[in-house]
Amino acid sequence: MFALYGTSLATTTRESNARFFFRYILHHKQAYAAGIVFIFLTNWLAVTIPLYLGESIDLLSGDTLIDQQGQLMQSIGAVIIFALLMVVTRTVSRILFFNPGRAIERELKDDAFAKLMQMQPDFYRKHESGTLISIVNNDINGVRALAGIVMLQVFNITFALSLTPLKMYQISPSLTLYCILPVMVTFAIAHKGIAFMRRMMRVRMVELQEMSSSTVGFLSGIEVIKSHHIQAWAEGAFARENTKILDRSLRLTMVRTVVLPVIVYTDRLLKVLILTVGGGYLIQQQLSLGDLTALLSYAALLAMPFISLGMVLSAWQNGIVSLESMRRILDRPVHAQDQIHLPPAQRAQLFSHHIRVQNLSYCYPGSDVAALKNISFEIKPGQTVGILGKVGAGKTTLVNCLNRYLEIEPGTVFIDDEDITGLSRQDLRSAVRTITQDPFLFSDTVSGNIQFGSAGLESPLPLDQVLYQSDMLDEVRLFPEREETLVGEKGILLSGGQKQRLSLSRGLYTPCKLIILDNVLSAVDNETERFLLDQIFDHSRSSATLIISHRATVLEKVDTILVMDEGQLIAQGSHEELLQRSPEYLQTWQLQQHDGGVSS
Amino acid sequence: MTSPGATKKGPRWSVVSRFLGHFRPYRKQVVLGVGLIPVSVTFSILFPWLIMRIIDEQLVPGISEGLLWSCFALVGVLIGNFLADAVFNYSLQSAAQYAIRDIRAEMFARVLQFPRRYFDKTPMGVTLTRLTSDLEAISESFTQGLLSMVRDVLVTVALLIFLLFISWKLTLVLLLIGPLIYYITQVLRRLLRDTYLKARVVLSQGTGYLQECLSGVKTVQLYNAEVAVQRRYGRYTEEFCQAQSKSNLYDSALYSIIEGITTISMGLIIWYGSKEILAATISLGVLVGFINTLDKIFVPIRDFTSQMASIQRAFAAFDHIEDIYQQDTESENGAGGRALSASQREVLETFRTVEFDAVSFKYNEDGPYVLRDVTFELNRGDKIALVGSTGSGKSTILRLLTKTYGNYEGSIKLNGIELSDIPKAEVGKFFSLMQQEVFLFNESIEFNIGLARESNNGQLVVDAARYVYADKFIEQLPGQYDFVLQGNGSNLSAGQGQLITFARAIAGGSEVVMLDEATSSVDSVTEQLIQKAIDHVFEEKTVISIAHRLSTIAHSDQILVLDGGAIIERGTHDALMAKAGFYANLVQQLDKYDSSLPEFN
Repeated sequence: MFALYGTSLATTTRESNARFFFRYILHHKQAYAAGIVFIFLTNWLAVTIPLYLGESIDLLSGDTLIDQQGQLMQSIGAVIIFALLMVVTRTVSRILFFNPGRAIERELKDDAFAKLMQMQPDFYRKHESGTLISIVNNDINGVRALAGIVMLQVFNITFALSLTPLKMYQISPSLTLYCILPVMVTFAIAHKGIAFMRRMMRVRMVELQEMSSSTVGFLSGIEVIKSHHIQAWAEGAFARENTKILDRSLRLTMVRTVVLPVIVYTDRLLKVLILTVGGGYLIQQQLSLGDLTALLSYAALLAMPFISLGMVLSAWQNGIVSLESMRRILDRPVHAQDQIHLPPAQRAQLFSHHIRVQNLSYCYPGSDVAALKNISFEIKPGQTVGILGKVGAGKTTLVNCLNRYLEIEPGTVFIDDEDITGLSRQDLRSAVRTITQDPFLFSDTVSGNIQFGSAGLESPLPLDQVLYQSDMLDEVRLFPEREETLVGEKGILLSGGQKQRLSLSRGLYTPCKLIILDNVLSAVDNETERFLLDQIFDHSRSSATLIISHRATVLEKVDTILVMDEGQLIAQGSHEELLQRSPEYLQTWQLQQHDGGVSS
Repeated sequence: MTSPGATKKGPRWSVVSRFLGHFRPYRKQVVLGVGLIPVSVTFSILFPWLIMRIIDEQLVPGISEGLLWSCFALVGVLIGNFLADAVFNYSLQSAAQYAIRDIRAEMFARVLQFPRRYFDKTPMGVTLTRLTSDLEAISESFTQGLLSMVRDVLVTVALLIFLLFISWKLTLVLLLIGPLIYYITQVLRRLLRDTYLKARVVLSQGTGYLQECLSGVKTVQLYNAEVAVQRRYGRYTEEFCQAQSKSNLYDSALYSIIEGITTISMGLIIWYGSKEILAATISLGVLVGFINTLDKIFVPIRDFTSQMASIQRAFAAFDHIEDIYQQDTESENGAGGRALSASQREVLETFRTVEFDAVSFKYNEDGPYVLRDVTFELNRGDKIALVGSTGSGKSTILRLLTKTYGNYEGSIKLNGIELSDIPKAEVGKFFSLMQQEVFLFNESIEFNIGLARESNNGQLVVDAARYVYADKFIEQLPGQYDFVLQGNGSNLSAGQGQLITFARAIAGGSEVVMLDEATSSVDSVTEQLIQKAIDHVFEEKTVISIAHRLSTIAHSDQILVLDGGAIIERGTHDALMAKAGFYANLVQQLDKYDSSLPEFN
């Protein structure tokens, strides 16, 4: 079974599903081993108890009951003690299998999460987060069942099917053989029936989702439906899906009410069989009434594992499918160079001399227009550099190449003569920090958001100071719990400007080598912008600053300005130089001077 | 939320009786199902009774005649029981499925008639849940909770009565153990539910965090925070794992203890029975019969709690769907439910004029006014442009005109008749909306334009498409007018989607076009088509527009400048420019490269 699924999808030498799965199982080998012992004990007790029950019935039916009261008490005592023992062994055995199942669920989830956090944009372009969440949350259930209930049942069924027939055989070989046949039939029905149910339920789930999404469609178009009077059409379309679900439900109901109860009737059918055939034997004095009682108890014990087997088989198949699904995340390769980190001392030395961009071009996957064309420039420690350009000029693309959010060609960006594609992303980003133009904040406290990712970093600023530098201090003081106020969905809603300034606080909280501000002041007013720029330029603790804007006024203070247009670097130099040299720069600057800073 | 009396106070019988009313068309099935309950119960008792008889009358005395016949009878009882149960379950469960289908259809039809106000205050997800999950919960509890519980309770009670007749002393032993089992399951299930709830909370926290980290994965990576977020996510999975381990314990214990008690009871019954046998008050067959009936009594007691919980969930769902039934629907007629008189009908034959006279409006009783004292007149052939910031009341004027909202102050007259006296459907035929928010059905282009209003509207659709210059691009699509749109037109460009809705508005054949111009930019080719379409409409129709394009505004006969719900300036483009007021200032701010007015705030 494992091999079948394993090879069908393997392209290269891929770890088989069995190996993959047992790698996790082996983490808990002690628990499983103990579980196997306990499940054996449980089964042994289960087949032993009916023997004592039978013995006591024999004593009752004998003529010498009065003399053998003591013996009867012993048998009954044995039944009770063994029953108590079985409560313990059964409970323990289930825990010993289910808990590792849960633990493996946790390990797989943690591993999947860790993998997801290392995936690059190309992965996220191909996989919607809804699908990924569904894999981590739903498919995991199938794998957990595989590691828990399926593992348990495999041993339970094995022991039950070896011990029960053995004991029955010892009492009456021919009757045992008679019992096997109906049990096999039941097994076949249970297996088919349960598999069919599962399939139907999955289909029904999909149909229900389809109905939900078309209902969403009708509800979002409700104004169109009402204003054009096509309610009848909408009701008709809805009724079609509604009826489809009804039909599916009816088929499921048929299986559930007519086919599956056959399983429940098996043990009663076995009892009838034992009574008929066994009764004949009893009358011929080949069996005692006690034997018959014991056999009646075994009927249930024999039917049970076959019923379970049906469920186990479909849970098994389901588990393998889920495992495959999980491996879509877990088997993703992580770029090799991202796993080799520089020693801390060397990491601290990054950007001692310069960052050099050399003939950098970039083209988004699936597009044939280059977003960046032959860009070359250099940033030295201590410099402030600005990038100016219209929307779509390639400014943000350039930033995403510098911090390697985008995958670039080797030999185009260097940090101290080290090609950045040869560094791990983590090393690079310890030196280069980016404050993005669309700030992302977590639903966490103000302080939690500011301190995000700063664990283990040196010389953080006091919170008050960093809030002051990003002009958030006064506002945060008015929040109900100041720095400890939750922001985002579950807390207070921040305005666009507040989000930008909080994200600025996060960027300024600890020093770094090069800080990139990608158009982060777009939603704040002029006065605040001026204050923030002063703070950034005059109190910066990073050795260099790269600031992106489409407002020329922002950039008057920087040492060098790069002017971009349509993916190209069309001019670079200081403000004064560019006013002389670059007509585009002059035009933009004049236009915006006149405008007085109206944002568009 | 929507209706004060609809929630709380547990099950309300009117709700339940309405639910049961939906079974009426399927009453044959219901009668058949209910009629079979006594049959099923009788068979359940016959089985142990026959076993006892076989042991006592054949096996113990060793008489072989009649054994085979008794066993045939047993098989007959089994088959009869199986059939009765199957028919009982299938007929009632399928009746429930039909009823739920009908309820769903009825609820959906109601929702389609809800006024705009309902959708303003009710998130779509809530309505969706009523139509799907809540009905699922009811269906599930009906099939897995209520039906099996009714049968289980009846069978258990019948068995107990039967056993009482056979041997009241042995039955007393059972009656002592029964409550113990009930108590143990109650306690364990409560513990299970608590850990389950805790696990659910932790799971949803973890999922929330996962979702957050996936949306913010760029931030995580740029701040080198991969390990930090992993650690935090690990705390959620750890907590979840711990809660689940606890529930594993309770779950395993519940399963094992009930089984243990059943076995121990067997021992106790034999012990107690041995004295009775000595005293010759009961037979061996009765004893064996008792032992073999134990699980038929204990298992239903064990399941009772979970069946009750499932029924409670159904009642909660009943309360939820009641919201849908309590919400008022839009009435078909005008105010006071009066239909139009014949003379009024005549007046409303074709569109002549709309007059707003000192109209004020607020969305909520205690909300602020969104329109203040608005007065203007729109005559056939006029072109009026509404200009102003977001929230200045432009869209509200259109919404009042289409009767999406009512309860305005002042007077709005359509051809001289007060708008509130005219049924919504009559108003609708005069106006068609060319919307900024494009809404497209996941159907063919032909459907999206013609909306299947008339049986043979193929030509109408093509004409409408040609009118707005959408025909060229449609004809280049695979399948042309049969091309099926997906995801609100995501397989078209944004501008093409707008053109389709333009064509839809034209296909409606209304005299007045309400144009709500998009602010978002589209590719330049389509932009030209949209511009041409608007020009075409301007030539032939009466237009009232929420305008962003300077050309649209400048071509209008009258521009109404709104601020804070009031008209602060009005006149033609040239007149307003000359006035150098609010409007002139606005035009000044136009981006030089883009001929649209900014949405200033």
